[in-house]
Parts: sequence; C-alpha cells; structure tokens
Amino acid sequence: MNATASAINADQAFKELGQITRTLHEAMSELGLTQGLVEITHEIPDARDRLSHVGQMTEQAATRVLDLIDVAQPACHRFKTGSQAMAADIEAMRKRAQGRADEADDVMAAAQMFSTEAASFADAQNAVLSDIMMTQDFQDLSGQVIKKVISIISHTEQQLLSLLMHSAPEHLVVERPKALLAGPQVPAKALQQDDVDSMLASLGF
Amino acid sequence: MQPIGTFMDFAKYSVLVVDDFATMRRIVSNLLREAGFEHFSEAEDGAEALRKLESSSFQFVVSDWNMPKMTGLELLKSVRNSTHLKHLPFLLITAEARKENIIEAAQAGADGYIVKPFTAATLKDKVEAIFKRKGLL
Repeated sequence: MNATASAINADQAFKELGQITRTLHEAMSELGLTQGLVEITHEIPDARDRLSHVGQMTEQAATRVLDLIDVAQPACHRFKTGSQAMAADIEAMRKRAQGRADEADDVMAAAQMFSTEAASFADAQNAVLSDIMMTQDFQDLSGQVIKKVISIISHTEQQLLSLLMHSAPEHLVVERPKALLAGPQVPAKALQQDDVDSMLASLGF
Repeated sequence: MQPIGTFMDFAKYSVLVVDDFATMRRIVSNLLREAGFEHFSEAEDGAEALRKLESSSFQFVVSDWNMPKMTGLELLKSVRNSTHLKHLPFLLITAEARKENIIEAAQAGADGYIVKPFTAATLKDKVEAIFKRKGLL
C-alpha cells in the first residue's frame, strides 16, 4: 500500500466514522437513550461512593479484629509460659519431697496436671486466634477487587460524560425517579437517628 | 520465650514486610512473629521499601506485587540490581496467580512465591525453605 492510497483510506474511514456517529446520535435521541445516559452518569458517583464505603467498613472491621488479637495472643503466650513454669516447679518440689506427705502429694499431682493442661489450653487458644487472624485476609482481596471495580466505574463515567457532551441537546432536563429502596447510605448522606427524630417531630409525630 | 510450634531461630533476622494494605502487613507480621521472627519493619509500597532497605539493615523481604508507586516486581529487580542488596532473600506474596506472573517473578530472582489467599503453614514452610536454601539456618 502506498502513502496516497492509505491517505485516501484514512479520509474515507473518517467520513464513515462521522456517518456512524450521526446515525448513533439520531438513534439515541429517537430511543431516548440520552436521558438514560444522563441518569446513569448521575448514579455512577453514588455507586462509587457506596463501594468505597464497603471497602472502608471491611477494613475497619478487619483492623478491629487484628487489634483484639494483638491483645489476646501475647496474653496466651504469657499464660502458657507461666503455666509451664508452675508445672515444672511443682514437679521439682514433688521429687524433692519424694512422696513423704501423701495427702499433699495428691493435691500437688493434681495441680501439676492442671498447670500442664492450662499450658496446652493457652497454646490451643493461640492457634485459634491465628486462624481468626488469617480469615481477615478477605479484606485485602475484597479491597483489591473493590478498588479495581471503582476504577472501572470511574473510567466508564468519563466515557459516558464525553459521549453526552457530544450528543446531548444543550438543555436536557431529566426527571429522576425517587428510589425509596436505595439501601444503606454512605455516612455523609445517611440521616442519623437524631435527624430522623427531629424530622418526624417537625411533621407532628 | 520459645515461640509456639517452631524450632528455627529467626529471632536474629530483621524482616521488611511490604504491602499497600495495612491488614495484610499486620497478618504477615503476626505470622512471622509466631514463626519466631522478632524484628519487623513495614512499607506500603516498593518505593518506601527501597528507601528503608537502603538506609537500614534487613535480612529478609516479604512483599506484595500489585502496589502503587513501585510494584513488588520492580522492587525485586531493584534489589537484584543493587550491589549490596542483591543476595537478600525475597519472598513474593501476591494475588497475581497466572503462569506469566510466576515466570516473570522467577526470572527476576524471587526466592519464593505465595499466592493469596494463603495459610499460616504455607508461609512457614516457604520461609523455612528459603532460609535453609540460603544457608542462613
């Protein structure tokens, strides 16, 4: 293909692209798609806010769990060490006494066994805490997915807005139906209980 | 105090944990502590990690891959290109789990590769394997 031929082809391609755009524009107007697009571009920021709110909530919950584990695990470690030391002390004492006081030795034997069990218990609880901690990794993976989806949504929004700028009539008035079941709101938009109470009070309730 | 369930002495080594998610940095640090490590530092992207590696002494890096500013793979390449850091044991923990990723990481010189979500046992196994291979235990 020589340079002249490719220039002509590019020219033709642009003409065809222009025709397609015009056809698309007309079809959109006829079908009322422009109005639909405007609605969607209004809803996108809301969807994005909600998603990032989900991300924040899961992060807060995961952080809270990790904070609690940070308190509980060292306690388990200390309890285990203490119990092991006590079991060892009792054992040494019983060896020194060599069963001279039979009744006391029974109690000491029980105490030694209890201390050993307490050490195992602390160890097992520590393992449970480790498992609880590991389940918090959902926050990392769900957080990554949410970030990705937010960036897809933002990208789509930009594309839609630029499409609208090129196709919508100048003064487009869009009636947006009020959705009553919008679900949980992000904190900045949600009414607090006090707001609800004062609103109801002003309405005579 | 002898850490629970370990017979290896990691206490003398300093670890740098790199991840852009605070939750994951805490989980990894906690698991390493349970495995016997006592000295930790954290970084939230490759660039911060590289600054820390250059300014203080670490013997082990555990890093995420997908991070802003500088990815874990770029960090790994920088480490391998540095004269004084190139032998540093480097473990990648990542949600990127395609064949191309693993090949890329291996070619860049990763010592280990863990796919998220992972278990405590997997992390312990890989860390022990790396330290044994490097003759550090």
